[in-house]
Parts: sequence; C-alpha cells; structure tokens
Amino acid sequence: MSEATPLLAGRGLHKNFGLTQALRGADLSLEAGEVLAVMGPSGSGKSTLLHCLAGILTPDSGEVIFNGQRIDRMLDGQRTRLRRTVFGFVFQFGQLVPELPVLENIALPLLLAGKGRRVAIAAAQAWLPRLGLEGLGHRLPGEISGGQGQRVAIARALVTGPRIVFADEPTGSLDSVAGDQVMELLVSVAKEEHASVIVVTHEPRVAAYADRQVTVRDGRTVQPAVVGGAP
Amino acid sequence: MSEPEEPQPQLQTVLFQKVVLALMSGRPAHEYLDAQREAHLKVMRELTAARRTASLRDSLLIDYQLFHIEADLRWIDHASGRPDNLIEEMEIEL
Repeated sequence: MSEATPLLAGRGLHKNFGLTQALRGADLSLEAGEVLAVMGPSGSGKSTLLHCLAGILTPDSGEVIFNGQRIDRMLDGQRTRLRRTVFGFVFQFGQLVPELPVLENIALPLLLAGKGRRVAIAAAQAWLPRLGLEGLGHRLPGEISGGQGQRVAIARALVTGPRIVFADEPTGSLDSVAGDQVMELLVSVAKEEHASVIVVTHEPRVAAYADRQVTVRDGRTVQPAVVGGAP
Repeated sequence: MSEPEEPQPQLQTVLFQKVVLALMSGRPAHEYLDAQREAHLKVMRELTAARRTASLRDSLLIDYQLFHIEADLRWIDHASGRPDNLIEEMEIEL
C-alpha cells in the first residue's frame, strides 16, 4: 500500500440502527485507481460501511474523507451532487428503471446531472460495445438476462466518469459464469477509466478480482496479515 | 469415461488440525484463521489474474482450483463465526 493520502478514508466509523450496532469503529482507506473488496458474513456491517463511505448514510461518529473533504459533514444537497458526479453505484439487482430501455437507463445519471438528452444518449451509446451490449440498447430491463442487466448497471455507474464505483454484491443474483463476466468487465473497464472500485461481497471468488481485501467482522474492519501484494 | 468417479472430499487436513489444535491449546484461532484467509485470498488473486490470459483448457483448470480454494475459505469463514462454540464443545469432550 502506498503512503500517499488515500482518495477515500473512513476512520472510527460508528453507526447504530436503534439498538443494533452496525459499525463499531470501522476504518478503511482506498487509493486512487485501487480495486478493494470488503468481505464479511451477513450482518457484519459491510454494506453499512459502504453506504457510509458513499455518503448514502451519515455515520453517528467518525469521519469520511473524500479527496480531502469531510463527506459526513456535508449538507444533503452537497452529498447528492457528489454521488451524481464523482461516485457510481452498482447494486445486487441492478436497480434499473424497468420502464426505460437499456440506453436510457445508462444515460440516466447524465440526464439527472443536467446534460442534454442528445449528448447523454450519445455517451450512453458508446458504452454498449464496451460491455458487450451491442443491439440491446432498445430493450427493456425485463427483456435482458441478469448478467446483461448488471453490465447495464456497470455502464450506468461509469458513464459520468466517476472517481469511485461502489458495488454492493454485484454478482449476488448471478450464476458463477455470469458473475465472472460481470466482475471481469467491472474491474477492467474501471481500470481503463482510472476509477477506483469498492466491492462488497461475501464471495471469495468475487473478492479475488480486487487488488486488496478487507474483512468486516462485528462492525469492525479486520486488518489483514501481510502475505503479499496484488498480482 | 462414462463411470462416475467416487466423490472425494478434498480435505485440507492440516488446516483443520491447526484450528482444532489452536483451540485445544487455548491459542487464539482467529489469528490463525485470519492469516490463513489472507494466504488463500492471495493465491486466488494470482489464479484470477492468470486466468485472464489462459487458454480455455487452462482456465477450466484454474476454475477448478479456484472453486476448491474457495471451499476452504468458506470453511474458514464458517469456523471463524463459531470458535467459542467449538471451545465449549471440546471442553465437554475432553
């Protein structure tokens, strides 16, 4: 790991939901261009950690710093802008808008960011061949496979040129072959775009695509023993 | 070729014995399991990287290796989630 200031860092993060302590002092840092896997069993707090780092949730205490800025202290509007412009998201079930064709689903973040429709659709169009989605632009999400849907979600996450892609169990609904294809594309395309990736997963095969893995247990990050760097 | 092979549990007996010995001797099994998880993940990262440029035949072999190492890792995570129960159980048996 480099000694440089990380692109994103969470320090001493605590988050409670009622009486449930989801995070109990979690620490995590992400370097620019790094692919990081956050592993852990169900209920360990790994998704809560991802949501705090992405500014979706505000931690009860601790700090989240992106590019030198405290995300946890930002106003809702500032955080929303950050999520729309420099963060991208891929969720377990894609969360595509079912009424919109593939092309418009990919263009959606650009449209929400105020880009003109023609520009947004043209940008989205360019992503179809990169993710093996040629000829599917006019299909609805219900008319494509789960793996294709996740590739659409990857394109939608990257179309704005984000600095970080947050992926929460991106292969959780896929078989192993489709899951491998999705991870291969997510990692290779993100590297081409110089975007960092944080992928939350309980699957070691998915985590193996990352440069580095961190385990969350009982709301805390377990610092790994050093056994060698990424290949 | 048409006769199915007898399924053989690919037991990493050393892995299993080390965990049990750690628990029996009062040593923290978590430390060993965490270190072992790291070692397994390192090999999985290397295999996953090698698969990118492998032929179809070699990638199938790598998949075979990955699935078996993943099975170990799943057991490590399973064991990590219940060392206290194991200690109690073993104290009764001993």
